[in-house]
Amino acid sequence: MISKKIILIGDFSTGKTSLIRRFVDNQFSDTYLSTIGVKISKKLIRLANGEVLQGLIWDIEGGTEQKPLNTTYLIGAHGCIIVADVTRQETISNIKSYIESVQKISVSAPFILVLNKCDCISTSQREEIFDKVLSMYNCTTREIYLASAKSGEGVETMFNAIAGQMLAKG
Amino acid sequence: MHIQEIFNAIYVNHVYEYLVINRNLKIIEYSDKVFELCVHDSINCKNMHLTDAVPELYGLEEEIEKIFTGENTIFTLPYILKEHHQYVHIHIHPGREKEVHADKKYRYETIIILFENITHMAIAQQSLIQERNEKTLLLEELSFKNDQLKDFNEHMQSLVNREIKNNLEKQKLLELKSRHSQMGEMIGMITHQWKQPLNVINLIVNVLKINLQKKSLKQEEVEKKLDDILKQIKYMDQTVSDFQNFFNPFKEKIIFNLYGTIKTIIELVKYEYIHKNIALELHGNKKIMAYGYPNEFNQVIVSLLKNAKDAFMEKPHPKMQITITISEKEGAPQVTVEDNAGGIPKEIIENIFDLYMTTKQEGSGLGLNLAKNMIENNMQGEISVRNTERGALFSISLPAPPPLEN
Repeated sequence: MISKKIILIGDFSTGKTSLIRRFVDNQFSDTYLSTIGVKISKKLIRLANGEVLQGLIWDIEGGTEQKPLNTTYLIGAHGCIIVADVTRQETISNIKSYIESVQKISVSAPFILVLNKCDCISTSQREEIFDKVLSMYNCTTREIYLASAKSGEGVETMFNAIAGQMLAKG
Repeated sequence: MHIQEIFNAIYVNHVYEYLVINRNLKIIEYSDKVFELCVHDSINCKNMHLTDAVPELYGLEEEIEKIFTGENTIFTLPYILKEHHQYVHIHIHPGREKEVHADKKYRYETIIILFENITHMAIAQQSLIQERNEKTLLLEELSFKNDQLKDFNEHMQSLVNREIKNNLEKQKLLELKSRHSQMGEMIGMITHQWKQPLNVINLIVNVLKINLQKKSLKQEEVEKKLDDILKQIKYMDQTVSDFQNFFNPFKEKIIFNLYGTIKTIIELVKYEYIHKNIALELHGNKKIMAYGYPNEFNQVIVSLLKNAKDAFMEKPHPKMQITITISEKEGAPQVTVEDNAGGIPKEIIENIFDLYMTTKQEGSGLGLNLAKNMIENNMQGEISVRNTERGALFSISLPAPPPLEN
């Protein structure tokens, strides 16, 4: 079976660990516990076309002003999920530096942007933020996803999306 | 000596475990407790592929290759969280060096994967980072709330400003409406006042005409009659001037004589009151001066007189009388307007100055509200009302004129 290294990066407290926990164990906790270093989880990802891959999902310590992302973790990544928190504008603005890191270290790895905690905002705000990020980062709609680790909304979709893009790359 | 023996000899209670791999990335040696830190489900990992035993190294094959060739001397993957909440640094070091005559591409035959247990350090760091991140989140929340509060305040301020502007415009409209209403009434009064001199002029002209027909007109008589006509015209001209002054807006506050101002008003309106058998009396000190806008003061007096007149129309009295008294109290000019129309009903007297408060069927409820606004807001005076034994008594207190500069 094909294994692929998928990394989740983004500012601290954007919900990377919660997204993985929802995806792997279908669980959620409101308690915030900061991640140190990296924790790897495994999960079989089945795509709509029947293909299956083993995802080695890297939950990487969130970047802060004092301690930016350790780019060693990015080496050899096959796909990347950049996570931001829709309720914190700064985490959306910081997406740019994460994109630059991915493009520098894992040149060929596809990446998607995930706007987490979408359960905290209204439908109209979702549309507004989605369009804003779309134009900010000159992305396609296949590269941006709204998700909520709390409700589970969009979580499968985003992991399936990155898996599909990784497989397409070969 | 075997590596394992050397290793165990050096580190009795060591925090390190290791794996040794060959160029095919197969495990060829390992320390006793390496399973606790790297391999989850197999005690015997000999000949196992490195990435099966250590999935964290999946995707790092190129980096490992660089160690074999000697291009890199060390590669570290820091802070890896393993099973049972154990943290390790994974260091990749070169192992046994190849003999000189061997394959030139690769410098090393083996590589040592060293697992450094840093759980204590990581846990300490975790609590520090947790605390720092929580503080940052709180500060972000605080800043967000501050921004929200600022936006809310700005919004409120704009609402207040809009409301103030609306009120000012409304007030101006009300004043204009009231002024037009008073103007209409005053024009009626002037028409009334002009009838008398017009009658006199008419009479004189008729006498002159008859005498002319009789051919008995003398030069002296013509001159006298013309003088009489001029007197009447002068009176009519004065009436119009007073009317113009009454409605001429003053842009700045001025010092004005209360008695003279009120006397002029009475002259303007007296025929209307005489016609309705209402006596208008003015008493008090003729020298008292006040400071404010005389035309606005005029409007207030006219409004109070009209209210009294309307009260008399509803409750006629055999001896209807309005008394205006000018006095001074602790240096402040005072004017009272009292009627004997029975007073204001108890249930409305407290709200008599409220906008749209009226007891009259055709009243607008603007007059007294505007009067209060003009006296209190525009001239910084006071106006109040109370009932006396005879009727209603309005008291106006105005600011004393400022001391004259040398």
